[in-house]
Amino acid sequence: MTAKRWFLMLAAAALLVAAAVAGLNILADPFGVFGDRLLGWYAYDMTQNPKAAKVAYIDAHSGEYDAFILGASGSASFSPEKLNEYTGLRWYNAFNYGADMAYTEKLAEYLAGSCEVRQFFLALSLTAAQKYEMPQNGAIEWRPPQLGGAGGWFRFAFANPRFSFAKLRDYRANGYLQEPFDVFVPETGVYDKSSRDVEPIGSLDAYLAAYPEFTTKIGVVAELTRTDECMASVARLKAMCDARGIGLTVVVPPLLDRSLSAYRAEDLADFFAKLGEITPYYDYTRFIPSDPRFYYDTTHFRNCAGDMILADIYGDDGVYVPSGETEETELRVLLYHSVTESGGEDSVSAADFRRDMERLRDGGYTPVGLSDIAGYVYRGAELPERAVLIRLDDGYRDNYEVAYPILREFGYKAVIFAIGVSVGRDVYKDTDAPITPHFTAEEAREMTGSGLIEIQSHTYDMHMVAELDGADCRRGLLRLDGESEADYAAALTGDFLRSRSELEAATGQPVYALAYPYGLHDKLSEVVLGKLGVTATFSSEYGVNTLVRGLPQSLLCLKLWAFG
Amino acid sequence: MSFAEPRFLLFLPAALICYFASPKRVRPYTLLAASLVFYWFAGGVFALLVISATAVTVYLTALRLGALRRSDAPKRRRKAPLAACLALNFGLLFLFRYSGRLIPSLGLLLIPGISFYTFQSAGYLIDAYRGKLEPERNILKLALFISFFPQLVIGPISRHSQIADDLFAGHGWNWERARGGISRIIWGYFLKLVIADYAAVPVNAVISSYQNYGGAVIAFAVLLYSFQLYADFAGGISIAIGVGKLVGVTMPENFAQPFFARSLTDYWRRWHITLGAWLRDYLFYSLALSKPLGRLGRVTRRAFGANLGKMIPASVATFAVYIVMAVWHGLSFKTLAYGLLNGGLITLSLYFGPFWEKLRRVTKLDGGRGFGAVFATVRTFVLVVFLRYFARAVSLRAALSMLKRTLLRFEPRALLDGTLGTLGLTAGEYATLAAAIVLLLARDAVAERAVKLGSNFESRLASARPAAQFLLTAAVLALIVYCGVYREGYIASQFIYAQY
Repeated sequence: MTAKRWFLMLAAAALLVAAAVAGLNILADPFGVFGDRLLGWYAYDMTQNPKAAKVAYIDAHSGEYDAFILGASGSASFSPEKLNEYTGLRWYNAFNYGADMAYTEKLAEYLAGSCEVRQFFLALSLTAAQKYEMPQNGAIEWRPPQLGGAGGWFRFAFANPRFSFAKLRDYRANGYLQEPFDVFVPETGVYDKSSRDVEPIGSLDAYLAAYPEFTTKIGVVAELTRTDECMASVARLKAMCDARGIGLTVVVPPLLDRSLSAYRAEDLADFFAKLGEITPYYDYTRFIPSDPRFYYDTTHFRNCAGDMILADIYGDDGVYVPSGETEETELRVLLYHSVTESGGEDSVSAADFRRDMERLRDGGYTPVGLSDIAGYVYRGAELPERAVLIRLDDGYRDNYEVAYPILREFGYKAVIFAIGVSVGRDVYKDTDAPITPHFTAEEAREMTGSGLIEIQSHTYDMHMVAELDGADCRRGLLRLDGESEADYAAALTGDFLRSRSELEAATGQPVYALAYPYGLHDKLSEVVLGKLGVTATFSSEYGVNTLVRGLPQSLLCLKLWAFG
Repeated sequence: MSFAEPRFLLFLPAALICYFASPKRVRPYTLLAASLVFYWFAGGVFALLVISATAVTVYLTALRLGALRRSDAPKRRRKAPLAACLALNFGLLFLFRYSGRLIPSLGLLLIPGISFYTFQSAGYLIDAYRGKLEPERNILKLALFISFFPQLVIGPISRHSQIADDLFAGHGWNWERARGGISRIIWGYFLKLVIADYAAVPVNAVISSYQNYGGAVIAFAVLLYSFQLYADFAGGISIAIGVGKLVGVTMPENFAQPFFARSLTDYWRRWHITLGAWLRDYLFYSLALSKPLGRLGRVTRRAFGANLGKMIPASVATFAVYIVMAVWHGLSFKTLAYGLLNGGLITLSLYFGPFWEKLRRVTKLDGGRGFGAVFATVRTFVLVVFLRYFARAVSLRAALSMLKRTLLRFEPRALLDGTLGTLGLTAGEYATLAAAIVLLLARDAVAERAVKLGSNFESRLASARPAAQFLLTAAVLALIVYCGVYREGYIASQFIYAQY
């Protein structure tokens, strides 16, 4: 090979390498900039670089949205679905973690230019007055090419190929649950909090033990040094909206007292004064209780808190908002299974059951129903001071024959969790093995008709018995070994839907609670049930429960209590 | 400024453009200007002053030596200026390289490449003294010889006779030479960025806290260090030689497939060749042919007989060479130990030479071929790695401790139980590193074979199939880009997200 030809070969090799890098980055598209046509894993792309990926996503769906939520992490918990309900528009949450007002302003301009925008909802955190025009630390903060990011498409095409390799690796490891590498819900733009939204929450002490970051001291005073620049951006944004006839709602989102107290009073006053000169706004900094349980971490308030704010703005009375302090109460859950005249190894005798009811009455405890505790949490209803929930599992006929009359006598409410496949049966499924007889649908309807009994789900057929089910036996409603997460989710979904529809058909009552067979539950099952609208769950751990008004997570994994 | 810095990659094209754009007679001066700019970036104004001091004193002394020689002055008179200038410049070397150990604050004055250019200019001076060359009349040309930027901070240490003509000829662009130059530069970056920089990670992790690791892991680290050092040094040299080639200067090779050496002596003829040659020509022969050693030789021959007697002065000179070699690397007990061990082993091999010969003839293990050759190569390699314990450990005590661990607490299980994964490299990175080392050894094997066959490596490579050349080039470029260009800058988003 002559020397000149060698140089051509070298150039060709260099071009090949460049093309390979660019090709990999464009195909794997870890930042979603090129449309992510191959893998379509937008949740991942948005996690890697929400600015670039969301702009690309919105561009690809430009006719579908006409209203946008803007801001940084403080905007994450505002639900586009709720906003759609209240305003009739088609909302997308275009927040970006780490966004400052300079970027938000540019983004708003871009959106106004590329979509038919009717409304913006801006959550302006105090941090917007601390950070302005932040430097871009690496590929995950590069601005989108559409917004004039330096280097444009070229920069993303020649980003470090490790990002692309990491995406391919993570794609293979991706499971059903939300993981640290895919924290977004691409269709709405919010954080995927499906796991955090089904975590059982009880007392404040327990929550602080689980999340000690709430107790660490904030040593420094937070300075609001960029207020003027921030407000100048807000002013320009407002002017643009006014000129284009776009509605603008400005909200200052909630903060924990510990975070708020890090700011100087004069800085805060200045912030709000300047903001007020530019636009009307809602000050929600102290709107929800300063209780860590209403927050995912020290800077992100929960979705339920976001819902409260939206309800307040749009006048929705159906959402309860606690005023000022946290409102909570204790709940004890008593568990029974079979209640028979004479009692026995597996059942409580009628006499003992009656005695328990007398002890409740004498001890000043008031049995309440499931809808009572749901009402407390969701609608701020009243609950008596020493509330007790009487729980009967499995749905035995003796509940109807023995327990129900005693409860009626005392006027006490109770919840029965019925196993769907055994309703009205006295043999186990399609075998001849005899089981303790279960009540029928008619008997169920009679009990619920009295107003004292509620009948909820103990699964349809996920309360298996090892001796009778053999190799197919599940442990409670947990995943089988070797069952894929997707198959399991489908199986659990199918089972619960059947359980719910049959019980609702039998009783005419809504089914929204589930008691875990054998008390077994895990994160995956909790998330699946959460998506199906199960709002109250019952476990077999022991403890006194804390119910919190306005905090749906306080109805999850309710614990058992035994007479001291 | 080192070759791996982005600044160099901007400097080099700029320097080359200036060079080729200059008229032929101006080119040497363009090179000098570029070298001074390079050195200013590398060491600042102070370093420029120091190197200028060397250049001026060597220039004047060489002219004086030339004048004295022409006037047939007696040896004693000629020796004085030589000794004075050498003492001054080696004194400067000692001051800036080693006094940091005695006076810590001085150690901060880093004069890059002082060892290299001091030896190079000393060689020039001694050659002038010996009448081997005409002293340079143009101080700028001498300055260029001393400060020529490709070899200034890393060598190779060249002789005036080797490069002067090309250096001052102002060669223009030549496609063939450019191909050779660019290939060497690419290969050098491959060695440095893909092998040396990655091998350094586990090596540093283990050596800095060797007490936490079993002997097998330590041995692994020292073995890896052998490759790291070779790749780092040979890589830099390759870049230096490549840049030289681009401007038409053929610098001497510094490495000749060292891991294929058949004996320790052979190894030192293949590793840091120019330093070894310098020490041989200017130290060893001077000592061996000096009067004191001559007298010693007569005494020992009378006392111990012809064979042994002849070897004693030779081994004294050998020891001197290896001690200087070791001290050249640094002044500490461990480097002294390194030098003494090398000197000792080579001296031993001199003494036992005849014995090994007899053994070879009896067992028919011909060191030149087949099993004998493999055995000799492996034995030498093991010896070299053993000696590296002293080169890389943080102190002599640490080296001995590491050796003790290697022999007494080997714990080979540690190599398989995931310990290697905790040293800072991922499995993929180890795999890439291994593949790159294999490529390096393959290249050396081919080059070794080429030497045997009397051809040279570059022409063998150039005659390979175009498709193979293309793929190989693309692979090497890809590795350089992936491991070098893109080494930093990847942060998994979950870590960044966590702060929000």
